[in-house]
Amino acid sequence: MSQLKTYRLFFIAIIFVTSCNKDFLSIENPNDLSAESFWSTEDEVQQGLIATYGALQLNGLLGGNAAIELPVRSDVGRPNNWNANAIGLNTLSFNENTQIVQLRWRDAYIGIYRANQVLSNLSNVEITDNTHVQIEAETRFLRAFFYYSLYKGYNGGSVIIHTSIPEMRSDFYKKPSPATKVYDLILADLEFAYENLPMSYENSADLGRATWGAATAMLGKLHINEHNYEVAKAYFKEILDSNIYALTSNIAHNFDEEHEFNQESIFEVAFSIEAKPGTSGGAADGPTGSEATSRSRGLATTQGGGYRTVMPSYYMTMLFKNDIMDMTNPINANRTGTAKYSVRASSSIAISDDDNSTMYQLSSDKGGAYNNNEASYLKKFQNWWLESESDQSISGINERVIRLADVMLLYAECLLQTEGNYIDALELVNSIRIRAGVVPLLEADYDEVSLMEHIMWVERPLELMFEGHDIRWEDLTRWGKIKEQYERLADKSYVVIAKELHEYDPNIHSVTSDKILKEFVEAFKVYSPDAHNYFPIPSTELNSNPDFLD
Amino acid sequence: MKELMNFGNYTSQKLFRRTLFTLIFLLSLSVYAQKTTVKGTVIGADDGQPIPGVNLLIDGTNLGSSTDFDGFYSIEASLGATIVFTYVGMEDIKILVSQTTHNVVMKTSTTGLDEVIVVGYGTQKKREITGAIASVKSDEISKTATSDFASAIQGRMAGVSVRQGNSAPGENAQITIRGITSFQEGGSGPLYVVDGVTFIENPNITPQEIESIEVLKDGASASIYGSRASGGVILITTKKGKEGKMEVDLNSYFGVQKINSGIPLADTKESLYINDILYRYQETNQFDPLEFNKDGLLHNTDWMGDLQIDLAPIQNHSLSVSGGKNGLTYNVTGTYFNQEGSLYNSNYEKYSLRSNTYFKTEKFDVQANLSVNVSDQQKEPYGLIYDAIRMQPYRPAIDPNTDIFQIDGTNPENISNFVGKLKQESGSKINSFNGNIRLNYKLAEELTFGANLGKSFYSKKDRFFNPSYLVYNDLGAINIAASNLNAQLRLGDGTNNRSIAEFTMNYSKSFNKHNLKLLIGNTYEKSSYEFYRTGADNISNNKTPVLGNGEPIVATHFINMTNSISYLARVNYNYKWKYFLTAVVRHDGSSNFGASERYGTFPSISAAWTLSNEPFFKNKDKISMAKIRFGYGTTGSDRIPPYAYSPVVISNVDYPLGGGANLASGMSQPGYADPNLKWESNISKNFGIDLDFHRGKAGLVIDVYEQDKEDMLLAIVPPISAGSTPVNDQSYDKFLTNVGNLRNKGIEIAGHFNQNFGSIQAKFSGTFTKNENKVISLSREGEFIFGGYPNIIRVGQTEPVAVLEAGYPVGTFKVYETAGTIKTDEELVAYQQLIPDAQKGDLRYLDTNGDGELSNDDKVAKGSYQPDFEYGFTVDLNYKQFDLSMQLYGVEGSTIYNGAKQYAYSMKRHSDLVYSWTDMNPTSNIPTPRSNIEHPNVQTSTDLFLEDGSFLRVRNIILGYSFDEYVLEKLGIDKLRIYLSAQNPITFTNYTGFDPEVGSNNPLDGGLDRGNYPISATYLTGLSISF
Repeated sequence: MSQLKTYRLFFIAIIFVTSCNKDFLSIENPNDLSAESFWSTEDEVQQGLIATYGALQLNGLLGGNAAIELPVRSDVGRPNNWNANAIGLNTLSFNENTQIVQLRWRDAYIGIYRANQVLSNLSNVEITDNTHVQIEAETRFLRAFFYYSLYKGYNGGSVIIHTSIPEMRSDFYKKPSPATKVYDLILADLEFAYENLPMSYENSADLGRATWGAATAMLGKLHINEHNYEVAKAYFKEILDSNIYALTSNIAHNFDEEHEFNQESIFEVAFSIEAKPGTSGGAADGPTGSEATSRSRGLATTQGGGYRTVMPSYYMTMLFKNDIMDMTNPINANRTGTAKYSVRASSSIAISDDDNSTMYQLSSDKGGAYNNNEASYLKKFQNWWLESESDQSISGINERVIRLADVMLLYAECLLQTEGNYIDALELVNSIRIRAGVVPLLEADYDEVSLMEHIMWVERPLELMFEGHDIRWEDLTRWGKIKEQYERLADKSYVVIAKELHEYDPNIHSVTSDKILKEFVEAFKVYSPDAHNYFPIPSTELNSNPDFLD
Repeated sequence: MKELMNFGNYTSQKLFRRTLFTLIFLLSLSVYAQKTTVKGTVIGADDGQPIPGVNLLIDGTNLGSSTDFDGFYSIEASLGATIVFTYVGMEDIKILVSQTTHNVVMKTSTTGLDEVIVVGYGTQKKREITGAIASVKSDEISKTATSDFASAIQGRMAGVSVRQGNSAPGENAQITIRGITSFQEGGSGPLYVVDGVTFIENPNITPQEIESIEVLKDGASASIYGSRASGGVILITTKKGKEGKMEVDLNSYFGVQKINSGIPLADTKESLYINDILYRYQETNQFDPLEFNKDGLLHNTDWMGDLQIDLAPIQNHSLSVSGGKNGLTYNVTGTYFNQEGSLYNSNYEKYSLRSNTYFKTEKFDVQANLSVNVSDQQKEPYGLIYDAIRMQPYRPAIDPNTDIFQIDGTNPENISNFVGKLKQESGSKINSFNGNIRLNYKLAEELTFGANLGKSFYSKKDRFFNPSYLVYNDLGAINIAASNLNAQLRLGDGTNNRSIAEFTMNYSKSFNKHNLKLLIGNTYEKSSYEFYRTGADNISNNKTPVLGNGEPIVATHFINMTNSISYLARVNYNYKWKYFLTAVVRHDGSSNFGASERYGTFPSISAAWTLSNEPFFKNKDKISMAKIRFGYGTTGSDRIPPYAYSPVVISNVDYPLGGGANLASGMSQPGYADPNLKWESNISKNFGIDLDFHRGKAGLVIDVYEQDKEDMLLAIVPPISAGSTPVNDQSYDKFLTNVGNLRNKGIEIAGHFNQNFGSIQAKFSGTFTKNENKVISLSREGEFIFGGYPNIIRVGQTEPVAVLEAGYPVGTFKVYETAGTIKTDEELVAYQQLIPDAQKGDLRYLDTNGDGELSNDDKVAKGSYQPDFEYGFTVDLNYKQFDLSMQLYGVEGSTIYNGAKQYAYSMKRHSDLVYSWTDMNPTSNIPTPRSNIEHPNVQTSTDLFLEDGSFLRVRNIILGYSFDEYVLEKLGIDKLRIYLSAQNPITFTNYTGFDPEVGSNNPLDGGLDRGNYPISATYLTGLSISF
């Protein structure tokens, strides 16, 4: 009996002991790779670099939200009557909670974090020096691009700098660096890229990677915005002299899907509707991510299946209406009917009486509703040749961030600012105008001052409206002309009669006072450079980083 | 065999007595009975002491008497009559009068001190308890009509706080024991143990299956569950059978529900007036609603009313069969519950079946429990209340039961998105299976080996279908943006598979008034959760919503596994049942932590002293029992997602290099991880007093406690500038780490009092809970962690309003203080120093630190949702066959954020805005509406939307009638009771939103009313019948 008892006790003791298995508590994560074992091969750092490119597509950078919302702050866009986000930006009542203010900040730092992952791990990987330099140059170009967006966007250029991956928790909490430090970092990164990036890539699979031209143009932009016209001029000149780039025969080729990465393109952010179209919504990363942009639906007309959240401003619409075609230009040979508007107008915006334009396979006046006192709709970077935009709110059109026409106009500006050389500058402007199919400027009509005025108030908006998303704001702040422009715009009155926009003239128009349309009145009233030239630091940062202000 | 013989003897004796009794009874009816004076003394079985105040009643009459101070009684009674002796806390005694003296011995009833309390890995008698344990029985649980036992125990146990944050059918209330104990979402929830099987989430046991619920509140009691128990432990014991004849019980109720709270919204006229105010102060982008809704003045649509369903039915039917003999008992309970929601498109249906069997022999006892639950929940469209707020009344109402709509106006997107939501189908089906077998084997007289093997399987299938529909305008042209051409189907599948194996040894020995119990054991738990989501877009037809009819989308899939090992030991010792000591230690290992931080040890000690058993204790008539308890215990928490200690690299961060469909694959580290992640620990101190007056006539339990939590775990959002990538459904942009320390201290009082008023028996009981919660420190000096977004529609663009900050309770509102509106030009000029684009009528924020700008430093603490105290009060009255009970529950001193009001303000829909500041209403403090919905006038982070959330609610009023047993006997029925009940009929509160009972399992969201599914009043009728 007692033996049996002992046996039982022994049996139980065995159960207790044998179940103690050390491996029982070690479980490997089946969902994601551990970062500790990653970053050891060339392939892996290359994948890290691709992820860094991927950040360009994010909503706050060159993705949908930025494309839709940023142009409405400057003189080129106007909001629809009910989109509070767009109205907030248009009336300058944006604040630290405004969506785009938060998104642009967040997405730029996502890009920076990804770039720093590549740069921090690059030296641990066995690769050839050439590959090392190539990866470093591309990554530093991208990091500079992200910092540039922050530098031009926020807090007078004073933002937080991370150049490595935070290790300890305390590494996260940083105070903003002075704007000069941010500038120095961008400059150093771009100069490295400028010295080490190739002019072009032989392999077509590399189309879209940063090139020497992209780095050079960015250096030019960085300097011109600091009013270093001489330095900027040299960089722009290098691009023009390199003979890599040329204007496309048709300006429309810069805005469609068919002619992506064309001869005029210096830097593009690629989107694709074929590769990983994703579900509804814009470019996102991760397992359910998408390579398409959500800009199309936000800007399309009702007929195109969109919300026309932002439309060309009345000012912009009048600029296109008043841009006189040159019927002697062969580019206009095919233009029929009354042919009121240029090929540039027809490929940029929809105006109801544009006979030579279609909108969603309808005549221009049917492709949009033109109600709610709407005067024109955006066509640039829109899929207007289709029956409608994709019903999944996605589009595959690449955003041309820098193209030759932009560089030519900036170079012209440098010529005017540094040497008053309006002859050469006028020639550059005219080559763009000729390609646009509009009458060239006559040398006799211009001098260095009036040509600059023309570039500021006519040529740059007509050529580049809604591109690069914040180019116009960058221009206006560089010139220090925001107040002046708002004043000019707030002073204007318009009427819409039978879907057509006119500047209001009391001698001609017998409309009741409430049909007289104004824009930028609030913006003019409240604008102050300190409060509005830059976005405020978003509340999301302030709330997650208590050290920011201390 | 001997036992069986006894059993037989017992029944035959009883039969004999019954026959005799009946004979005498009949005789006494026919023959005029001879009256005599019956006398005697009533003493208690435990101590032999006389019991004063025992009630005597001659059965079938209203003649009665009671015992005097010495337990002596005297009553006039006929020979053969039956005297019923009743005393609270004692079992009733019936005496057949056969002589002139009857001395009576009364036994303490099982609800008294020998009541068996489940304590985790065993049971104790109530008198042995050294910790703070509350208990509630099935009859109280069954008073609330709900599928969720948590809401049934609200207000019934001191220190156990239940909040129904989302009252949608099928949703569970949050239970918090002794305050918020975690910074993490879901972290404050208790550990649930159902018949020995642990559950981290609410196990969703059907209330009808529950026999009792015990709550281990203090650390000393809970530490037997170590690392799982820092939020306290809820032990659920399900119903078992009793030996004897088979008993069949049927319980049914049927009722209707109605939402009786709301938020004041503008009607058509008011809306147009608000719109008019808005454009008085904005010149561009003017929007005239009537220009685009030509017949707008003909409509005054009450969207909020249209989305609510009045008199939504609720019903429950439960049938149980129980019985047993020869050591084998069984209980099988089947329940069907069906609730239609009070909001559009919500309902819940649940079938559950539980079978408990128990077999006992001399050496063995074995218990096998099986339970199956099948439920189907349909959810109202996400954010429906906010949609109802947003929709304008000048739009005609819409019937969503069609696929083709004609909607006039030029921006029908606005309304069609809403129509689309009404068409959505969103539901989840849950199948769960739980089973365990517990075995105890007596190795020797004092030594028992126990094993508990359990398996729990839970499968939740989510389905979301977004049908296609077409929207045409009044001219017959299709509006593509307003239409949904792309019917989408999303399917989610989550399976949780858990197994538990526990082995214990119990040693129990009494010698010379020393009583000793020892327990050692170990447990193994494995848990694996697998989830995937897939779906298809462009489903060809709404009538064929299956994956094959659409284009497949990319799937997500993940597997989370956690294993844990524990070793536990407990000593229970008492001397003469006067001095009690309990010591526990548990050593836990969890795979959720990195190799160096995997194990934690959680010791505890507690003691009790029953003063009333001491010779010096004289006052035993008044205070029949007095006990003091002291406990010191530690617990911990490993309640974090697995693998969180290691940073990861994710794939699919791609870029289309090369143009067109070419894609280069990218990999990226989306966020951070803390490799030194460690256990959260909790040190709990408890001091308690148990008092029993007049032998259970009244009782009082008071506990005071202090709990210190250290190294609190929280997934914090690193600064946005650190660059984490947010990915759908994933928390890569958060970072789990040990962030700080927290203290809860409080006092709990539970009392009851029984009193008879003539033939009305009354029982009063009450609970009082006061808990003070304070963040002691955060790991970084001066740190504050924001959370709590009141506006679910615009989370990204609105500010959080709650913080974790040292010195304040968790979830303290920290917002800008405002001082009305800017009313004069002078005020405006001054204010424009702060905000250059301010206008008159704007809300005036206070620059509290006077630094000339508004920043987080100006935000001030404005109270928290954690109340000063909460209380529950219950009255049960019995009069003859009638019973009436009422339960009240109240919360005092809670501040809540009226998010629905904030949303209604920002959407210009709140009727207050009619009275907002204008040049013609220059004294108003209601800010003028502005078109920017992030405008400071309506942004979330101000004190404008904070309100007092105190309330007193009548939880239940139940009136029941039990039919006379003599009548029922003829029908072959043992018991029949019918009742009427009103649940949540009245709430007293000053809150202006829907309902002040808000809650969330995220501690920073707890005080936010975010258009939560409001509580309904329910009116029921029911019956319970036993055969």
